[in-house]
Amino acid sequence: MQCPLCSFEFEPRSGCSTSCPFGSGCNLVCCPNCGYQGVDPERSRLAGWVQRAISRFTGPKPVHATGPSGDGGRIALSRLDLGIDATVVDLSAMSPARALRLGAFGLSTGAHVRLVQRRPVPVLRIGETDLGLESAVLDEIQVVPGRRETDEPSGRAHAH
Amino acid sequence: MLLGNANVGKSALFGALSGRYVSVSNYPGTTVEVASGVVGRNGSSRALLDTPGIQSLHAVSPDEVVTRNIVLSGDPGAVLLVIDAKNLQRGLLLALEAGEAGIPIVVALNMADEADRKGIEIDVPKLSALLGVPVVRAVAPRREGIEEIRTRLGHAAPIRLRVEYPPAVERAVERVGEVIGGSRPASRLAALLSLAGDDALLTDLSVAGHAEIAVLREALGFELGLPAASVIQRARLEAARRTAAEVLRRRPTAESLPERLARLAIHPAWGWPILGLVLYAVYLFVGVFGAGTLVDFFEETVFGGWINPVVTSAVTRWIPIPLIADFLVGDYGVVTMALTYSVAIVLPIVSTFFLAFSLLEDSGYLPRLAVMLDRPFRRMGLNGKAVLPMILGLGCDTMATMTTRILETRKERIQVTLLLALGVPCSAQLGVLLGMMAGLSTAAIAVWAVVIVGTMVAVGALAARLLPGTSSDFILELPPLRRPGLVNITLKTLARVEWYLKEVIPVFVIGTAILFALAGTGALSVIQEALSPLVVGWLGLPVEATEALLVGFLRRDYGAAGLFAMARTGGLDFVQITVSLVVVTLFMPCIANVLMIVKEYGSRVALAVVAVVFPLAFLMGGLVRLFFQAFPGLFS
Ligand SMILES: Nc1nc2c(ncn2[C@@H]2O[C@H](COP(=O)(O)OP(=O)(O)OP(=O)(O)O)[C@@H](O)[C@H]2O)c(=O)[nH]1
Ligand SMILES: [Mg+2]
Repeated sequence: MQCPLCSFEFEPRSGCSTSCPFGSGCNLVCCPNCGYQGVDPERSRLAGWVQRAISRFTGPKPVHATGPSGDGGRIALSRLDLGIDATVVDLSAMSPARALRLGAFGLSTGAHVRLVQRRPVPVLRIGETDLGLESAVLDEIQVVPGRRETDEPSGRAHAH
Repeated sequence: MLLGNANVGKSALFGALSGRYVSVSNYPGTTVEVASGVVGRNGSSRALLDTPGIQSLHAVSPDEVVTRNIVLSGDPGAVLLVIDAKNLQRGLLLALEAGEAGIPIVVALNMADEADRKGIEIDVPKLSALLGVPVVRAVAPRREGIEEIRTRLGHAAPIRLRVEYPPAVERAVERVGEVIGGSRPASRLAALLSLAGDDALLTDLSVAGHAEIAVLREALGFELGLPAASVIQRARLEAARRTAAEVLRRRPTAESLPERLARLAIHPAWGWPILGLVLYAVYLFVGVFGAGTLVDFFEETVFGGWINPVVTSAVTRWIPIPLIADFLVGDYGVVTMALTYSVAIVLPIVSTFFLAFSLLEDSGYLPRLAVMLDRPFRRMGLNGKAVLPMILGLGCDTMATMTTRILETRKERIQVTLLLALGVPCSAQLGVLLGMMAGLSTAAIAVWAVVIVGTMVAVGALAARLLPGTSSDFILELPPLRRPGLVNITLKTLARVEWYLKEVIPVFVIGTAILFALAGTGALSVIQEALSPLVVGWLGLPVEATEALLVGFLRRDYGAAGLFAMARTGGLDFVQITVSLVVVTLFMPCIANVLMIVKEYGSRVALAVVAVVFPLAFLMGGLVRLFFQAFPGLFS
């Protein structure tokens, strides 16, 4: 881990040897460089839980939808900013059964979607439908930010 | 028949068309069984079926299979395809599938009022021309468009709009058509569905040639460079999107208050206080007003002060035969026990609960509750979708057992059925439990809650490990929040109270009669004697509690009512109250529930559930008692 005070990298277990009789059960670690006492979140369950809760609440830092990235601006839906329209470009990571299930709600390549929220459960807006979803699903949906019209004429309707 | 996505207002239209009331609620999966009615019009009348909503004719859960089978049966008659006007594209997707089935269709664009409010305008004549079928704007609760639908049902026609699939798909459809028999009804749809991977369909159609079709499917996927399912799906979606774009115009509108509330109700931070507020409001209405004020009034004033004395004196005066008199007004009398319990104690609680519950159902809050509770439910190896049947279980476990059909895998369905039977108290029982808790300390109530929730989580997690099969994804549509309609709330509450009166009171009377017979013949004391090691020795309850537990086998709320009566007269101390609370909460809900499990999953599953539930109830009760014994004084 990294010492929060002097940013020295060290193995938590190789922290300062303490003379405290309860030392073996102690969740605090000392930085061998500066002696700063910190909490090892891996050892303290409570601290680890709180830390995860905080990061869960703030969520992973989303990529800004306006900044184009290497892959033509393609990102996993899980990394899209909330409240921004995006166009689905790739669903091939998704199992066919799941794709079929979501397809009935209008999710397909070329569909316009928007992430309404991430927690407690991701909510995806497809057209006028709000869907509560498994978070794992979001990683399987590749989008480009913004509304794009599709140019592939794969399906067309016509009346006989 | 009616056909449409979930929660688009099929049941509301069904009610308006046929005049027969069926349950209408604002969450997907209200209807899980087909209901039939009649649409009459100047002498000519036709049968109408209300069906469970489906996302697609590619059915996944059993309630969807029911609907799909009617469509593919070949003769569904004229089909009223109900589309949510706010969500045209999705409705068109289903319309295109129905077009592939070749069935005669009339389209109802329901919820036109909400579409207007959202600034969505649909060119109805143009849509009708594109599809080649009558299209009618409708607002079911206001009966708008109902007459026109009645007239137009006579002009139903197959949808003309066709999806253009890549040629390779068309060739494969033809080949599959030959395998499954090209002359059978809806064979084009059947072929497309099976190419998209719907194997269950072939079994349902009792078509041989699974292997052959699998080969065709693989070959098609290879030819296209993509799974056949996704190509078919995409072509359909593209067609639906184009058609929708042609007839749809939208004006931008500001976010309305219900929309903002809907967003807050599932907000990671605001969602919790809102949930707390909703629960507190329900508690105030059902727990305080229903179980407190109303029960006191009915039990003490109406029955205690009026009916029981009057009937008792009338009986003793006019009926000289002691046996009959006793049967009516004795210790185990029909009036003094069965009616007092069922009408005075349970009915007020059940009615207030049903009313509160109908409000919740129609507001659209329940699916949002499912979102909030997804995470805790994952600890039981379930996902948020299972929240719906579990919450419905608070109304009636038997009905909720039927609603497990909205879950996609058998494993999840059985898991939820087991948990419902084990620890979700139904409204009748919940009320009595609330009443019993009134006299307990917060600490004792906490013990009860921890034991019940802990048992459910442990059993749920264990069942998730032990039961074979898979769990499904959490995918749940969140309908808009709506102001519940007074008429629907009233009808639904009355329908449920009527059901209660019809189903529950007879059981209470029968239970009382059995107790009466047992007591009269002296068998009761024999049974009490025999069960005394369990009831007195292990649970530490007074021997009279045996009779409450006995009738608890019929309905656990009846057992709870008996214990409630004992507690009120000071027959139980607080440890005994807590122990008996735990035991009756964990009992099987009622005989009807057992029968429903037999009907849905067969007698083996039902037996297994019973064999888990009863021993566990007694085990946990005894453990709670030991806990109190180990820490005396802790809770007094
Ligand atoms: N504003 C408005 N609400 C409607 C309309 N039609 C139905 N509703 C409401 O929509 C909700 C769903 O109605 P249901 O009739 O239960 O829908 P369903 O299609 O039978 O749903 P499932 O049985 O779950 O598939 C209820 O809250 C109705 O009150 C309409 O035309 N306008
Ligand atoms: Mg319905």
